[in-house]
This record gives sequence, structure tokens and C-alpha cells, in this order.
Amino acid sequence: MVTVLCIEDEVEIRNLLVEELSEAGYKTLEASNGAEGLEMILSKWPDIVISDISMPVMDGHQLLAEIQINHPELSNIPFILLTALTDRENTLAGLRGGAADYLTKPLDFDLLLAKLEGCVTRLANDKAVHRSF
Amino acid sequence: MAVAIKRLQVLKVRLTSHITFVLVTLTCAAAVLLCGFAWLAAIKVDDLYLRRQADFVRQGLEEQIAALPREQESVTKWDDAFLYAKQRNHEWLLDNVGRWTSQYFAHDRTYIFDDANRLMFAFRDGADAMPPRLDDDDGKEMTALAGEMRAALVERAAEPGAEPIGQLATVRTIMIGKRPAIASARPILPSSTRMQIEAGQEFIAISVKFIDGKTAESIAHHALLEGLHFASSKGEDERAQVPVSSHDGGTIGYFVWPPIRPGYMLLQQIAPAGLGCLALLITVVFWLGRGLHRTSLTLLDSQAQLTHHRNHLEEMVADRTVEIERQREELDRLLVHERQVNALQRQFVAMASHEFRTPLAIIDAAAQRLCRSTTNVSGDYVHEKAGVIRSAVVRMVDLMESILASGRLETGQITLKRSEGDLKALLVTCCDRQRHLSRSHVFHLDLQPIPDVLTFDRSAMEQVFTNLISNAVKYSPNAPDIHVRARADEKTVEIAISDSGIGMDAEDLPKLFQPYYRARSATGIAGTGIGLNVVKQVVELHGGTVEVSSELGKGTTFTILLPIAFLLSDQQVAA
Repeated sequence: MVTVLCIEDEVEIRNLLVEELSEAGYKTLEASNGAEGLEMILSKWPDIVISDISMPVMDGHQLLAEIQINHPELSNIPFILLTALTDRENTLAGLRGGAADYLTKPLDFDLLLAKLEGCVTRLANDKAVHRSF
Repeated sequence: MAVAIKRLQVLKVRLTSHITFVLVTLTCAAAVLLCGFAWLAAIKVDDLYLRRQADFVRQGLEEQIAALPREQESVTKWDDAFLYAKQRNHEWLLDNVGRWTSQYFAHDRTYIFDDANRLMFAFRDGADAMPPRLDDDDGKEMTALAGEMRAALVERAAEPGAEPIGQLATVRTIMIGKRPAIASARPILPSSTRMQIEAGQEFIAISVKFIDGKTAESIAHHALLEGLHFASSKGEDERAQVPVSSHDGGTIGYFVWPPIRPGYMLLQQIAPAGLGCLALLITVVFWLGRGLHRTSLTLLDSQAQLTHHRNHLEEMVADRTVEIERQREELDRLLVHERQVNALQRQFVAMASHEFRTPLAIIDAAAQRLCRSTTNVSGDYVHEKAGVIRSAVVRMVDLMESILASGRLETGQITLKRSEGDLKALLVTCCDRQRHLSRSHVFHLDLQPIPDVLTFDRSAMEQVFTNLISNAVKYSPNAPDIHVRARADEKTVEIAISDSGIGMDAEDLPKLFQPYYRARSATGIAGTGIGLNVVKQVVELHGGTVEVSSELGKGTTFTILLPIAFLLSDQQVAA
């Protein structure tokens, strides 16, 4: 079962997201800011991370950078940014920082699920390749 | 060299500034020089003139002296004279020698000495002196003169080849008694060769002419002089006199005349006119000099003004430069400020977009959830999702209200719609609403009595409380305790809202109430930066103040102080 970590400070959005993902057959983990998310990533090793950007304590960019710099072994975890920040600067910064994708709110659940499916397929392929060696 | 030229220029400038004085001095100097020259010329002319007069007088005197023996000759070179003198014919001598010399030649005295050198005949002052004798005043001189003459004749005769003795004559100027006189001695000789005479046997005739008024008159006539006279002593002017010498080298007297000095006279004549002209000249020069002086003063003044103006211009330029520099700095400052405002506004737009998108995302997600779950949807599920949607809508409305209020406040369009109400109740309502929205936080209310009925703008105050309470929740994600206090004394209602959240740096506090400004510690937390600005303006419109105290990492307290007088004012008016 694929584990998805949802890092989101807005409780309503997080709840709705978790609800949708659970219904789609994913195992979900929750965190309300970047710091909690990092802790969760390190302890639970999720398969996919969905993260907001604007969050207290540690924001999405900082979390991404933390992973890329201090935890490179985790940098192959697909990291999808899901944010209300639609400006070009933040988009470029997120993608450049190593995000697998940059989705904006209001979010289209179909789009998100399609992304997740793509990621899952790629993960499965990676595992198959690894296994063949 | 340069120094010398500089000094010369300084001197020139000084002289120029005293131009009247300089001109008058120069004119006076020129006048003095001119007078000096005129004086010298006059003296020279006078000197020349007097010398010429003296020459004329001297010539006249010589003429007088030379005339005597010449005149005498006509009566002594005559055969008859020789014969009658030898015969001692007194009558004949009286008529032909005495009267002749006296009347025709104006000789004063005539003497004839015989061959033994005795006085034989004397004719004195136009009268025959018979018997002839020499008085005390002429005796010695006449006898000596006759003897001398005779000796000379003898000596001459002894010389071989000597010229005829008839030419011999001895002329003297001598004093006879106290009278100056010309005396001439001649031998009485025959004019023909029929008669001979031995040397030393001649009769000697002496003629005397006193140098008196007649002589002086004669000389004066010759010299064209008036007032010429003989004086025994020197005259006042050395130049206006001619000395008369005696035969032994002494001076027996002087011919003196009043000196005529034409140069001096001319000077005297032209002096008043000259002085007048000089005075006039000096006046004119003074007048011109004053004019020049005034002109030069004007010029100097103009120059000074120009210099002053030039210096002033430099000052003006310097001032203007400073002013321009100041304006430039002001513009720079304004530009920086404008840029900051622009940056804040851009940030605000981005944040506003984000803030609207978040509740929109909630609404959209909830709606999507409802759409997807059409098959087995329970009533509770729909109710829950509708609640989520509604609270998101409330959030959007609040946000919109806040932005609109901010816009109105910014343009000064807002006016308070005051009405009577219960401030404490409003505060409680706001707390309740927030409590409902954020269940993670705990609200501790400490509400002491405040006046029940106060006059305030309800919706504005609601916004104030909502903003402060939602901020307290938003900026204390890990500190659930929110303290809300209210109390009042006679003058003030005090409402304080405290959290134990992230707090702020002291440097952020002064700017905190500026529109769009957000504390640096708020990074990563959604917000538009307009809420506190609205709080401040609304509170101030109610005559109150907002105070903030905060410590980074420890929490923040906002305190609203509202004057009761203001909140009661309408009531009092109504009462």
C-alpha cells in the first residue's frame, strides 16, 4: 500500500485531502507544518509527499531544501507542492528546489490523483528495476 | 618686479580715490613752478636792464670826462692865446679863455699857470678872480696837477722822435673841497709853427668841471634816465649806481638813479590777474576733480557691488546647490518610500490572492467531495461538508470586509456608524466565533464589569476584536492559551488580548500598524498585513489607542484603551 504524507496547516483542507486519498486507496499520514512533516518523513518514510508552502515554523520551500541538502537519501521521494501561491517566482523556486510537481489551490482532486498514479507507477517500475539487479 | 608693479597699482588706486586732492596739488605745483619761472625771468630782465642802464651811465660819464680836454683844446691851441698868455694880458684871457670856457663849455673853473708854475689867471664860477689865488679847497690839487703836467711835458720833450706835445692832456676826477670834479690840464701852445717854446716854459691851463646837477642831467639825457644824481655814498641798489673813481684809485662818489625794474613792474601788473586766473583754475580743477571723484566713487561702488554680487552669486549657487541636493535626497527618500509601498502592495496582492484561494480551495474541495460521494452519502456527511463550506465562506467574507474597510480607511471615506450596544457582549461573541473556528486553542476570559451600554460602531469594533483574536490564534500555533481581559476605570475601558505564540522582534513594533506591513516572524503564516492597520484606525476613530508589547518566542499582547468619555458622549448629549 502506498503511503502519502499530507503536510498542510489548514485543517479543513488537510481533512478533505486525507478523506479523498483514503477513499482512493492510499495510506495517509498528516502533518500541520514543515517541521512536523520532516519528522514524519524521517520516521515513517512515506512513498509520496504532498506539501503546502505557506506554513508556520517551517514552510514548504525550507522543507524541500532540508531534504535535498541534509537528507539526500530521501530526495527521490516524489515531492508534490500544493499551494495557494500561484505566482511565477514561487513556482520556479519550488520546481528548481526539487519538487516533482507544483499544483495550485483550489485543487482539482482528479488532477492530484492522476499525478499520484503516475508517481506510483514510476515507483513500481523503479522497484522492479532494482529487484532485477 | 611683480611686487613693485603691485605696489604701484595700489598707489594708483589710492591716488585715484583722492583724485580731487591730487589734481589740485598738481595744479598748485604747476602754478608755483610757473610763478617761479616768471619771477626768475623778471629778475633776469631787471638785471639786464639795470646793467645796460649802468653801461649807459658809465659811457655818459666817460663822455663827460673825455669832452673836457677836447673842449679845452679849442682855447689852448691858438697863437693868440699863446701870445697873450705870454704877455700876461689879463683882459684878453678873461674874454677869450675865461668867458669862453664858462659860457660855451660850462666849465666851472679855469686856471692858467705861468712858466714858473704860479697861478696867473683864475676864472671861478663865471667870475674873474682878481688877483688870482687858489683857495684851500683847490690849491693843492691844482698846483700839483700843473706841476705834473709840466714834468710830463719836459719828459716828453727829452724823448727823441716823440710826438708833438700839443696832444698831451691830463684828465683827473678829483675832489675839490667836498665837491667832485673833472679836472683837465693842458699846455697853452701856438697853433702855428711860427712861434717856438722851450720845454718846461709852457703856460698850463686847467679846466675844472664839477660833477653836479648839470653833469648828471647831461649823463641822464645820454642814458635816457630820470632821477640820476651824484651821491657820495652808495645807493640802495648796487646795480643802480656807477662809481666815480679818482686818479689815485679811490672812489669819490657814485652816480645813483632810482632803479627801474620792468620785469618786476610787469609782474606787479599781471599778479592780480594771474592770481585770479590761478584761483579760477584751481576752482575749475577742484570742480572737475570732484566730478571725477564722484564718478570714480560711483565706479568703485559699482565694482564693489559687482564683486559683492559675484560673491553673492557664488553663495546663491552654493545655497541652491544645497537646496537641490536636499530636494534630491528628499526625492530619493520619497522614491525609496514609494518603492517600499509598492513592494508592500505587491506583497499584499500576492497575499490577498493566497488568502482568497485558501477558503476557495476548502469550498472547492468540499464540493468535489460531495460530488464524488453521490452514491452512499449520509445526511451527516452533507451537513458536515456544508458546515466546512459555510465557515470558509465566512472566512472569505471577513477577509473581503477587512480589505474593503482598509481601503475605505485609507481613502478617509469611513465614518463611524455609532449606536448603543454592549461592548463586552460583542467581545464574547467574537471569542465564541473564533473558538468555533479553531478548536485547538483555549480562550481564557477575564471580564470585569464595564459599562453595559456604550456608544460605538458595532461592525468596526467587531472587526477589531476579530482581527486581534484571529491574530492571537494564527501566530501561536503551538501555544493554545489565549487570554482575553476587559476592565474599566472611571476614564478608560481597557481590553487586552494576549497569546504565548511566536512574538515579534522589537524592531518590527514601530512599523506594525503600517498598512501591508508584516513582522518578520510572520513569514510562512498567511496574512495580508492590513488587519492591525484597520484595528489602529478604528480605535483611533473612537478616540482611543492601541498598545502592543511583544517578545520574540514568548508571545504578544495587544491592549486597546478606549476613553469612556467618548463612548458615553452621545448618551450624555441625548440625556
